[in-house]
Parts: sequence; structure tokens; C-alpha cells
Amino acid sequence: MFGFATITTDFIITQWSDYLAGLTGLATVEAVGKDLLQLFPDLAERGIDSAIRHVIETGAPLTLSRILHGYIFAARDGSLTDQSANLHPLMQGERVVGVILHIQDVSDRSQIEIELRSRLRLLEALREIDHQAVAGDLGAAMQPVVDAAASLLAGQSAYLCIEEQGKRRWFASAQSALPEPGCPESNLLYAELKRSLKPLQVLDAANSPLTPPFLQKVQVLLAAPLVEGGQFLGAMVVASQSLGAVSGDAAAMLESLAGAAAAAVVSCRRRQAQRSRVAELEGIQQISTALRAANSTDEIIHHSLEHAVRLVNGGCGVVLLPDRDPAWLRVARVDHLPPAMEGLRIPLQGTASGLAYQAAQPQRTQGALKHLHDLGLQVSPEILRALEENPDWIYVPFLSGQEVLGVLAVGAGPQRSFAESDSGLLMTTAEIMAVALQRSMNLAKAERRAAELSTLNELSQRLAHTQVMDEACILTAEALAGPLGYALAAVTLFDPTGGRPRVVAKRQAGMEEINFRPEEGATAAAAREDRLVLVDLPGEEPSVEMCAPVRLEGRLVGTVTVQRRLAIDYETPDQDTILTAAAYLGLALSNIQRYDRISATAGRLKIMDEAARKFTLNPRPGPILQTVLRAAQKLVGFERGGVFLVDEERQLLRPAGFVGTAAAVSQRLMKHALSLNDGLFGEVYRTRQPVEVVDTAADPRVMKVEGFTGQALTCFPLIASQQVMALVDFSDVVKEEEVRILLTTLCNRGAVALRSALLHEEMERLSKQREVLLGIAGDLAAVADDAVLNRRILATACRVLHLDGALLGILESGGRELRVAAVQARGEAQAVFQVGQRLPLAAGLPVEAAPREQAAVIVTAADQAAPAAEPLQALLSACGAQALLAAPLIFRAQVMGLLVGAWMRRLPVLSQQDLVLAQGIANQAALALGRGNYFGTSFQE
Amino acid sequence: MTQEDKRMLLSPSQQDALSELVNIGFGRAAASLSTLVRQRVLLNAPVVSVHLLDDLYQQLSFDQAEVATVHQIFSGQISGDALLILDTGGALRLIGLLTDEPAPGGRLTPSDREALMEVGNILLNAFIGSFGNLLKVHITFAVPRLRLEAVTDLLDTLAIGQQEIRYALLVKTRFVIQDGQVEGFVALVMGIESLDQFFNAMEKAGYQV
Repeated sequence: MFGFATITTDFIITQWSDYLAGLTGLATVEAVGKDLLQLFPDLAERGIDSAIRHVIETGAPLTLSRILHGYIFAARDGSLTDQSANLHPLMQGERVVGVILHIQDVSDRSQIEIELRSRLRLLEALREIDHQAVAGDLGAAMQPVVDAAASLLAGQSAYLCIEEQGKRRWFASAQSALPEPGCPESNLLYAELKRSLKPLQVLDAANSPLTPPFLQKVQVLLAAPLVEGGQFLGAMVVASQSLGAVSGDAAAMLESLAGAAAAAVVSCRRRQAQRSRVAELEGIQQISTALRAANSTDEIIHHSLEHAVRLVNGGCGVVLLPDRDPAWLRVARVDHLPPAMEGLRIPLQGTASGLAYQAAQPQRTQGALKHLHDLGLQVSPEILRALEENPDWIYVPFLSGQEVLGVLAVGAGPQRSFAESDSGLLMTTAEIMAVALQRSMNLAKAERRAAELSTLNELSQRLAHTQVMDEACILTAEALAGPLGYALAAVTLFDPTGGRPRVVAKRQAGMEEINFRPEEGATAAAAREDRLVLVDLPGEEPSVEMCAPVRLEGRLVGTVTVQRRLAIDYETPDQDTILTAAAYLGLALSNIQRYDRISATAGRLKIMDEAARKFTLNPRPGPILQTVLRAAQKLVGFERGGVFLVDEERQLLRPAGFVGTAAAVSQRLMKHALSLNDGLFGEVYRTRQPVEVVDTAADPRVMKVEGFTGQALTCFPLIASQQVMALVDFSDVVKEEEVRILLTTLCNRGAVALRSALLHEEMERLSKQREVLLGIAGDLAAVADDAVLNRRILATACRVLHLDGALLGILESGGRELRVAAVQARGEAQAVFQVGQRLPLAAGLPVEAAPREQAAVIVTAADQAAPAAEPLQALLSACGAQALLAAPLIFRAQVMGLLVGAWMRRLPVLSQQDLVLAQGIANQAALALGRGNYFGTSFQE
Repeated sequence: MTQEDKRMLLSPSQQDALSELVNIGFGRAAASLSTLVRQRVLLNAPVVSVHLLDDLYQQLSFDQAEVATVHQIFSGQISGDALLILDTGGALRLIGLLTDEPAPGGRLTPSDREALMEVGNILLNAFIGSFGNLLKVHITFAVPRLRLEAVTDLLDTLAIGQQEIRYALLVKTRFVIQDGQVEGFVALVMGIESLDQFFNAMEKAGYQV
């Protein structure tokens, strides 16, 4: 609707439209011709006249807006209608003669704009609420709600109450005071909203029982619950003195605001929960980071406890670890508690920490102090005070797999209780802590194991350089009681003959003496069962003893025993360590034994080589036999021994040397040849096998010789070319097969050398014999005179055969008489017979038989007279000699006489070869005599 | 050529005379506005300059692309286009300051536009009217129009159909109302002939130009 009016420059109305007439109640006829400012004096008060004058002065059209002026003309009833106006000049030429006022009713538009503006404000408020809700600030989000409610609903004040964890939080619009705490509890309006979950309008608020006490003076209340997902979150109320507050869509707006507020509350809570969660995660991340950097168990416990207390905003905390006594826990670390509490022992029975530890479940209790009192623990007043200030406690076990490593306990602090989520946070912390502890322990174990392996490796190297068994045992014990940290380490070796075990090495870490007896405990069990044995050793400070067997080439030869004075079980690495040490020791002992054996073998081979060298350097029977005897002594280590040479007739053993015997015994033994026909030597000679006698007293074969025969006896033959050349006899038995073999070899080599030496001597002797005989033959051949020849024959015989005297006899009377053809005395001996003397031969010599025998004989006074020697026995008796040699003089196969030699003072030592030589001389003599006779006869003829 | 160089070169006396004239006009406009809205309104004109129309775009620096313009054509011995140019935010703030009620939503309602047109109308009338009085020239005004458009569109509109070279007398304007203030521009766009007559009229009126 619109209307118009025209006025002159003097403000005289010239036209007045019906609209204006209807609006103002001033009829056209009443208005026209009147002064506008007189009819409507408020125009001047509101500056409208200035606008009209401006148009008149400038001739420029002008707009009067509703916003700046509200209205131009009031209605007749005084009501104000939204109006705008356009003022145009009425021109006459270039002169302004009047103004036309064009009035437009814009109340509809205004109303639309007001509603639109209201909705925009509501939207802005909602956007602001949403924005603040996104930011997570509940206070910042709720303040626009109450402000918008108060503003949009034309209320004096608006209030908002949020239920938060059982408590109520109030917000009031700007310039409104917050209600007194506790009011909502007696607030029926709040209760009704909570019950019905629907908005309420209280028109006569001053008299309504629903009106809260702090809003008793208002006229109208608009209230709406804050509901999200069917859950009552709080309420909002707008108080107004005007009923206009409840007009239109006020209720809908309030509901919108309440809905936005409810959504904002949820959003804020969610955001706060997210922030809280982020803070928790950051806290957990900090713990995780701190624990990753921690290098020791102490550091891990320290950081875990510190961060755990901080994470749940706790007042204090402790970490409890298992005590040595399995019935107790021990305070390992405290945070914001007296340091004196560290080390305090808490029983498992009857305590929340014990329950958490045993059940592996978190526990929450009120009043740790009360528990301590109930348990009768003696704690200082300082600790009691500190615990009294922290009544709410959560106990969380930290586990590695199924094993509970300890308990993390956190107190809420003074005047504070834990939230439900705190328990979960502490459990997470405990899990991280457990992982870190497990990692740390694994690392420590690995480091300890590496150190152990290093020590074992070092031990192995040191053992490799050891050549003495006892020293190896000592090294092993020192390593175990030293770097490997055992309280006691002992190495015991067993006696292979069944004697008592010998503790070769015993070492201990501390100064206090630790008893160790191999006949009991783990050592005895290990020796008995030949396996690793663990034994608990009870006592004031219980120990654990572990023993591993030491094997040498598969045989149990000893044990390695360790003790640890800690109330913890031996772990697998411990067992590995002991087993490894025992294995190293066994290997070392084996090596030492092998080294000893090799050394002994080398020494023995050296003895053999030396003997062989001596055989070569001094290839004579005597030294050879002496060498064999001494080498055998070195190989066997016997105390006394002798060597005997088999004589040429293989009837006797002739002593060739002794060792270890007294000189007198040796001289005595050297004088007596031994028979090969009986006794032990005879058996060895016959069987050509060595004989050992362990107990000579019980063996009848043994001929005991005082000062020579020992308790045991061994006789080895020296065999060459299937022939026993000599025997070695010593007072011991051969214990090792190797020695036996070497001894056999030595004897065989000695036998070969002996045989070569004997052959050499024989060759030498035969050569000399041949030389002598050739010399004799040449010497005798050059003599023509019989008497000279006879003397020279005798002189040669005495010289060569070392005779004291000799005679040359010619057989006569058919061999029954012997005519002395020549006599020779040598040295101090006197001639017994005279030349020409006829010596009767009792039985006579068979002249024809002599060539068959063709051998010289020796008779002594002690000999039994053989039939063939009877004539010589008579001569022996006649001359009084010790022994008599008779060699037949055979010429042309007939015995023509005898060459008789005598040893007056001593018995000769002659071999068969000497007899052969004697016979050779006799033969040369016979040949010379025969040849002399032949030449004499030929000369006579 | 710099922005400074693109200004129409005015002698110092011309610059002083123009500034004096503008300040007088703004003083009267502020008085008229204050009377009409029954509030104390101050109008400052810290910078006065003359530019080629083609270069005007570079002088109109606004935070927002869209501007609210109260456009009033004036004619007579001096003719041209008078414009009050505010960016949309500035226009809303100005309405808020005048009504003591911030406009929600960031948009001008029809009533807001009406009020803005009233402010621009009175400002431009008073400003240019004071010129006429001071320079003793008769100026008539067309009905004002409010436009919401981009600056480029505005300048295109001013250039369409004009054959002669056009200049703009640009006055950086600051409204000071209560505790707040809003900045904008008042521009008088004239052809070379009108501008020449403008300066002649100033000279005749005793201004040393």
C-alpha cells in the first residue's frame, strides 16, 4: 500500500491521498491547505522536515528509509506502521515549487525481514554453537546458546544447565547472574523437562509452582530440554516479562537452540573425549618413547612409574616387584612418596597389590593406609601421612606372557578419585612397561650370555694352552667363581681305580668359606647318574648347587660343581654354561692326556732311535745288550733288570749286564750262566714269547735272586731269524700296549743287531784264525829240523791258545803210549814232562777213530771222564793242570800223535771256535811233522 | 608508469583548492546526514585525487569483489556520475552502525539497501550541492540507484556510451559513527569538458587553481 502528498515549499499541503487519509484519519479536505508541520509536528522532531527542505533546496530527490526513520506518518490510533518514503521535487523550470511525498507501507516487508533477520541470527547462533562445539569448548559453545535465546526470544535472561558426570553446570545469558548452586535440585521445571523430554511454556510464571526460585519475578518462561539420542543432557529456560516472547515460532526457535545445544554438548564431549584420548595416546607415546630410550630395568621402572602417575593425573605411585620370599612383594620404586618406602615389603595375602599380583588382574581399593594398619606393617609416620593423602589406589599387574613381573600402583591424590578409564590407561602403561622390561631383561640376558660365552671362550683358549690336568681344573674353577660369578666352583676328578674323588680345584667368589664335599649333594648325584644335577641347598641363605659331569673320551672322569647364593632358579643359560665349562674341561683333559701320550710316545721313539743309533755306532754284543737293557728300562721304567745272552750251544744264558742292582749282586749274577732248559727263561726261550709275572712269589717258574727279583717280572726274548738270541728280564710288568710293542720292537732290533755283531765277531775271529793258521803253516813249512819244528809248534800253540805249557806227543804202541817229542813251558810254568818220556794212555787212543772226530777236546778236573777222554784225564792228573787241551795230529787220515796243552792256574774260557783253532794248529803241526818225516825219509832214501 | 604517475597531474594549488572544496562539501554532507539520521556522523576525506576512468579500477581497493554503489547522475553546467562506493561488508557495517543493530547473514536486505541508498543519496546531494553553491553553478540530480555488482561491471557501466575521455575525482571516504568507522570511496566521474568547466568554475569562485 502506498499513498502520496504534495506540499509547497512552504509545507502547505496541496494534495493528500486516500491512503494517507485512511492512515492518519485526516480527510483530504481537512489536510489540503494546511501546513504539514503543523498537522504533524513530530515530523520536525524526527528530522523529516530537514529531508523535505533538502529536496527543496537542492532539487534532488531523496529517499527516506524505514530502517533510519521507521515511519513517516503514525496511524490515527497512534500505532506505527513501517513506512519508507521518496521525496521528489516539483519543478517549474529550474525552480523547485514543491515536493511530492511518496509514502509506502513496508510493514509486510519489514516483518519478513525481521523474521528473516531472526532466522539468520538463529542460524548464526547455531553456526557459532557448532563452531565452538567443534572446537570442543563447552563453555564457548553454550554461551552463544543462552545469548541467542535471550536475544531471539526477547527474553530478559536465558539459562542453560548441562548435566556433566552427575553434576550440573550452569550458563547464563549476558548480564544475567548464574543461579545459586543446588537450585536445580529443587527445581520442578527442570524435573518436568527431564521427565517429559518436551518443551514447556509457563505463561503465569510468577504464580506457577514450576518456576524456579531464582525466576519468581518473571511473567513468562520458555523451557526446552537438551536431548540427544533420547538421552536427557540438560535444560534451557528463557525468562521474559513480555508475552511476546512466546509468540510466533519462539518455541520452535528455542527447540532449535536446545537441539543445537544438545548436539554441541555431545560434540564437545566427543571432542573432549577425543582430546583426552589424544592426550592419553600422547602420554602413552611419551611412555613408549621414554622406555625405548631406557637402558636398564631401573630406568624403565622409573620412567614407567613417573609417566603412569602423570598420565592419570595421579598423586603418587609405587612399583612392586616380587621379593625373594615368594610370600611378599617389595616396593622397588616410589613416585611422590617418601623414598624411605622403597624396600618396604608388602605381603601377598590380604593386600590389593598381592591380589593384583596373584590374580594377574587390576584391582582398585580405597584406603591403602587402612590395609597397612590391618596388616600390622611397621611403617614410618611420614609414609603413613603420605598414604593418607592418597586414599584411592589402582593396582595393575605387568605381565610377560603368563608371568607376572610385578605390580604398578598409582594413588589418585588428595581429594580426588580415579575415573573408570584410568584403570585402562594404567593397564596399557603396564603392558608397555612389561614389554620394555622383558626387552631389557632379554637384552641383559643376551649381554650376560655374551659375557659368559666370552668367558667360556677365554677359558677354552686358556685350557688349550694348558698341559697339566690339575691346572686345567683350576682354570675352570677360577673362571666359574670369577667372571661367571658363581659363589662357589669346584672341580672334582674321580679315581679310576675306585678310590675317593679328589677335589682338584675349589674357588669361591666371597671371603666366606663355603663347605664343599664331593661325596654329597649335586656332585655325588652327578657322579652317580652321569648327568647334570640341580640340588637346593637349604640354610639361612638358601643356595642352589648344580653339577655337570666331565667326560674324557666318553668316560666320566670328574665333575664341575657350582653354587649360587641367590633365591632364583638356575636358568637354561646357567645350565648351558656349566655344561659347556664341563665339556671344555673334558676336552682339555682329553687333549692333555693325548699330549702326554704323544709326548711319551715321542720320548719312547727317541729312546728307540737312540738305541738304534747305539746299535749302529757300537755293534758289539756287549754294548748292544746293554743298550737294549737300558732302553727297556727307559721305556718301562722298571727298577731292576738284566740281559742274558744265549750261548752258542743254546744251553745256557750268559749274563751280559744288569741295571738297578747292587754291584755285588751284579758281579754275583755275572758269574753264573743260567740254564735254558727249565724255569721261566727256558719257557721264554722255547715259546719265543714274552712272559709277565705279576706276583713272582706265587709263580714257581721264577728263580728268585736276592737283590734282583722284584714283586713282578717280565722277560722278553730278543729274536732274530726265528732264533732267540738273548733275554731281557726286569722287575715290573708292562702296563701299556704301546710300550709292549715298542719293547718287542726294541728287542727284535737288538736281536738283529746282536746277531749281526756276533756274525761279525765270528767273521773276524775266523779271519784271524785263518791268518794265524796261514802264519803257522808258513812258519812251520820253513823249518827243516824236527826239534826246531817241534818247539816252534809248541811255541805257536802256547801263544795262540794262551797255554801255560804244551807237549807234542807221538803215538806209539798202537796208541797206548805217547812219546813226548817236545815240551814247552810258558811263563812261570815248569815243564812237567821230559822229551822222550813215554806216557801211557790208559785206554789208548783209537788211531783210526781220530780222523772221524778230528776235533780237539778239553778236559778239566771237574769233568766226568768220557770214554774218549780217559787218556787225557790220566795226563791231567799226571801234570796237575786245571784243564788240558788235546788235539790229534792227523796225517794222511791217521792220528800220529797229540798236541797237548795245559792251563795250570785257571780254567780257560774257550769257545768251540777255540777248539777248532786248536785243531787247526794241530793239523798244521801234523802236516809239518808229516812233511818233515816225508822229506827225511826221502832224503835218507 | 606507476600508479602515482597515472594520476592526473594537478598543480599544488589545484590540489589544495580541490581538497578544500571537497572538505567543505563533506562537511555539509556530514551535517545533512547527521540531521537526517539523528546521529553524529563524521566524514573524513584524507585523500583526494583525479584519475582517468580507465585507471580507476586500480585505485578502488576492496577486500571483497562485490561492491554496493549508490549511483546518482547529475547534470547542468557540470555533469557526470556521482558514486558512493562501499564493499558489501562496509555497507553492512555502515547500516549496523547507523541502526545499532548488526545485520545478520552477510547480506543486504531490501530495507538495508533502502537505508544505504538514503545515506548515499544525502551524501552525494549534499556533497555535489555544496559544489554548486560554492562554484555558483546549477546542478540537477537524477533519482539515485543502488547497485550491487563487481567493480569491473560498475566501471564498464560508467564507460558505456561515452565518447569523450572521462576522469574521476576520487575521494577516499571514512564514515565515523559512534565508535565505529567504515571506509569507502566517493567518486565524481566527469568528461574532460565538465572537468574543465569544474576547474574554471573553481577559478571563477576565487580558488587558486
